[in-house]
Amino acid sequence: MQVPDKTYELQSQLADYCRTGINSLPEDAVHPEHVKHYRRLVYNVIEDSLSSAYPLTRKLLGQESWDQIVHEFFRSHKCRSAQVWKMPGEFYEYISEINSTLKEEYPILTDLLLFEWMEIVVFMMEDIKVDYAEEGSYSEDRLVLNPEIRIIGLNYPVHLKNASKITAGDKAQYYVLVFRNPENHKVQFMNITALHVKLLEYMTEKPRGFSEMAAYLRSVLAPANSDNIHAELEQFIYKSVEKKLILGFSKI
Amino acid sequence: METKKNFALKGILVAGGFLVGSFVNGNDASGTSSGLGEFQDLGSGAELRGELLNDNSGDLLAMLELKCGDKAKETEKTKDAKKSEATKTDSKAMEGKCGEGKCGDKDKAKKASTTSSSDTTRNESKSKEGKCGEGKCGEGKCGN
Repeated sequence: MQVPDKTYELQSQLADYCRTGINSLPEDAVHPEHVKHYRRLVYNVIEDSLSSAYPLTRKLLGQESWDQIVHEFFRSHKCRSAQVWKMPGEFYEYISEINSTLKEEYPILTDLLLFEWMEIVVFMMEDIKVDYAEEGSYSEDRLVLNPEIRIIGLNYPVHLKNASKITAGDKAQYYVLVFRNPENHKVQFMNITALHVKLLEYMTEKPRGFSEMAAYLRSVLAPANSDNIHAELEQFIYKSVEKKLILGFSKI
Repeated sequence: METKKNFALKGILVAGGFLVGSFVNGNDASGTSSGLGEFQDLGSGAELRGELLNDNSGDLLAMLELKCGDKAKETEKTKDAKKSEATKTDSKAMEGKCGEGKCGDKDKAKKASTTSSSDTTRNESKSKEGKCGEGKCGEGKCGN
């Protein structure tokens, strides 16, 4: 339904007032004593959603800094999505893009936000149907990877340590696998290495057999590092099957 | 800006500060030998969050360095699982769910109606969010 221009204009003015506190609404359009409650209520929804989405970040920053950054986001950012659950993603993008003293004070901030946001992304992602058989041979059949996964690369171990205890000395390359268990729909986390990333990307292309995967891993590894590749791959595959990262066997 | 660009990738890799190179040189954080045996199951989001929110929790990174591989985590995980599940942190993703993102998605509706206690939390969260902040009146959380 087309919203009349006048209505749209008033809605925009009300939205601007809610975000900034600057009231440009016509005097006869709203009751000044009442309209301020809209601002408070809308802010509460924003703050509540962000607090639920980013409990680790909120705890790291402390109440004062948290309120400050949420207010700043609320005031400065025009949310693009009409879906409230996506708003924390816009908060992450906003923080990533701005120059904030908070980011200097907390170098782990964007990593922590990404880590927390990714759980929501994976939890909310659309169901992806794949065909697979439950019975098969690990050594001969090709394995079907759970398609509902994401991998994040981080500079700080926000997934391994309490954020307040992370120091500059912890800076390195970390990879976190985030995937959704298709049975209970819980989001699962795994700390992985760069080699797992390569393997998972390889498995995403199409179902792969054990020998195929072992050969691929050897091709990306220095020869000295590939001695135990069979045993390590076996261990990873068994764990992946147990955790439903690998769903089963290819039917084709 | 780099992050935003990567964020839009349709593949599985959502890079934060960097992307994986074409050759694995074993220089990543936990890299020794091939690195393939050094994964660590961190559990569900609620379990992990519970552990990371706990100031007195063990340092998983230190544990990883001491005992490479998945087994190191197993014992700790079982021990902490119940404790973590008891926290209210399970509601985080559920809150995000909110019913909005998947309106009309029958599969999701079925999931919500057929599962147990954690989904009860989800349903509670949904109704809370659905009220659009009304329940917060007078809590002094004014945006001023």
